[in-house]
Amino acid sequence: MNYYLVEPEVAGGWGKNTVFTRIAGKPTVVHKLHYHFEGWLGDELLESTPCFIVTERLAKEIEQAKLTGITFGDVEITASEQFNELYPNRELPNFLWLKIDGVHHIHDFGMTSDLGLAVSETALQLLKKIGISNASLVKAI
Amino acid sequence: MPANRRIWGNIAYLLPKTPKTRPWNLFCFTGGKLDYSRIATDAFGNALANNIGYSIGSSIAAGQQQAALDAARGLAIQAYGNNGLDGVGGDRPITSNTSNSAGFGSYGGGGYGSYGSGGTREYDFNDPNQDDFAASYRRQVERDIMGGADYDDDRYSGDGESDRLRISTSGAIARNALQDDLTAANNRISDLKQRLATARAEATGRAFNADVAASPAYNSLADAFPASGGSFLSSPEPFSVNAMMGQGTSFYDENGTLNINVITSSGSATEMGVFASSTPQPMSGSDALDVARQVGIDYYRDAQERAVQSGSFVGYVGAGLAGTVNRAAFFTASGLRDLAVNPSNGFIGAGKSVVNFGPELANAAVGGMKTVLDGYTQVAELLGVKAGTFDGFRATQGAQIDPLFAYSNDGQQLVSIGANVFGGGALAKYGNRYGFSIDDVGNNSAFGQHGAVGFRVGEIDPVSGQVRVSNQATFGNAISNQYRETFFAANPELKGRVVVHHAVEQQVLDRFPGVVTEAEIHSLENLRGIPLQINSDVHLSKIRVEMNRFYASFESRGAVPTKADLLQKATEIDAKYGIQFKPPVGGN
Repeated sequence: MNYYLVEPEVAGGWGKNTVFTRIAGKPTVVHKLHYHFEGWLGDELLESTPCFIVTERLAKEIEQAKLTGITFGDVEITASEQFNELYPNRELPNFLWLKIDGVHHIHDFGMTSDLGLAVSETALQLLKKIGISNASLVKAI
Repeated sequence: MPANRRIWGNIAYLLPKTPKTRPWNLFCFTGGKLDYSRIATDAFGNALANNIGYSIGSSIAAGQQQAALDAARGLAIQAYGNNGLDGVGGDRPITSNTSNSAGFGSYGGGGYGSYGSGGTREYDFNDPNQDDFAASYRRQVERDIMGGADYDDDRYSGDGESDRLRISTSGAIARNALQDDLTAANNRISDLKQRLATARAEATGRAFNADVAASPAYNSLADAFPASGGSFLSSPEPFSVNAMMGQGTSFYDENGTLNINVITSSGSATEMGVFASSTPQPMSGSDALDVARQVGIDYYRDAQERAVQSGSFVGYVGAGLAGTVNRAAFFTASGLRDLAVNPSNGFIGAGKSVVNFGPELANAAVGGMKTVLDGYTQVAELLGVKAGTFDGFRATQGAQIDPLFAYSNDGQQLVSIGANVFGGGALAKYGNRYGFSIDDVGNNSAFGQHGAVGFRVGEIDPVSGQVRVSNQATFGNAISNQYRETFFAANPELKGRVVVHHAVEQQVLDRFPGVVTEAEIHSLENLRGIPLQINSDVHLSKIRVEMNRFYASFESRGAVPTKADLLQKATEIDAKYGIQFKPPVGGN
């Protein structure tokens, strides 16, 4: 099966309530995610390294498709002054934390060593169907 | 053999070479009273010819010169019609038998500058009553041609010095004088570096002081600056940089004296400090304005001289610009405020005006001036400006041209008015040390734009000959976390037109605690304006993706970037996208 590296839209960054552990020489581990929106082009899969979030709608589709390598968790969502300036009337949908625990080339969702997101062709088709038009896609070797 | 010969520009190169029996006509275009466009034309011509052309003239292929000059001549003919120029096509090229530098010199500054208003004189050397090769007669002819112009003929003095002929069209005299100045400055400037920092602050600071003193109208400055909230109203201490950036630049002290402190960010060329405190009380009375203006004129002239003596390019420019503006009464409160917040705006504005010579002149001039300017652009391209840069200009109508470089604020616009008159001479005087570069950055931009150019002013590297600029992103220290207020206090004209973005993102405070402070994150130096009309959300998204990759390179190994790492990344982002920011960064 083909696998692809996906670089999702980055709509914001860590908020002040994010809790994490950083140990030199090891990837940073996030325990609680607070995603602070600065803008949003509309993709339903978003990133703020090393974390990914998805809309509730996309999460349901992933569950129904029984894709592997992920679990879902809660995420705190806030929007910045800049977001409200750009989109004065836009309401954000509900988002879930897409926790990647799969292995690249084995599961539908996996994490590369440099914290990139790798997905199977099956997962990619689903993501594209729901909407990741602002993501960058590269076929994984 | 052609029956007639047309002489364009400086006639000095052709007069001695005329064959004895050939009838010939001289056509010398000399202007009358200089108007705005004429002066600016000369200014650019001087800058082009003496500053750039002089330094690289010998490296230009003769064929290129020929092409440029022929093109310019054709364009001028378009502008002024025949005007007594029958048989142009049969002429020998003007640059034949002349050196590269001579050919260029005849067209660079004085030549172009002399196309102002036109005029024709004819002499028939077949006339038996005319001893055409008698030295006395040649000199008489030349004097006659030059009319009342200052005329310095050393060729027949027999003093043993190199023969020379100086003709004082405004461009030629300026060129000769500035060439001398260049040589003198070149000899002295290496010994004056230490004195530069003090002199430029002193000269420019005093210029500002005099400015404030010169006109009661400048009282409005205080009202134009952002309110300081009263905390500085009676402070005897000078403003710090950050206080100035954060809360404004002026205050009245307890004695009712208007105080202005201006400091700009440091950089290799735009670094300039202005300290103007304890300024005299404005004059009062009905004659005060005229008297004060004259005082200002005298002061600026003196300040310029001092700056030149001390080798201060920035001081020279600053004093000259201020003086020009003072004389022209163009000094608006809005413009001064922008200059005060960041004096480099003035410097940048001056530089941009040189590049904007075409649009600005064309908008101010009428008729054939536009066509003559087209000739300038062709010469400019041959001198190194990327071919095609001015295509848009040449395709436009004379009175409907947008500047090639938009001015970011009133300060830049304000100074450009003066710089059109002054900038050419200033750049020529110090052209061997400072210069400007034009980079074609648009076609490589991630924004997909075409034709955008970056403008930089800086010190010329003596080894590479390239302009050195410093575009390193920096932090300041904000006194408020209300960053939008900070940004719009410094850039009020951008309110409602840009989204304010942090070059080093706010999330760094949460993601990498302790690396930078809130005061640094929200400082003016770290704020960027993303124009709303260029799909700001898309651009911001691209920047976020780049920053995310940068963070990932650290998060993947549990590492934390240093402050220098963050600023370096911001510098890279500025270099990539900054040309589109308001005000532009990283390339202008």
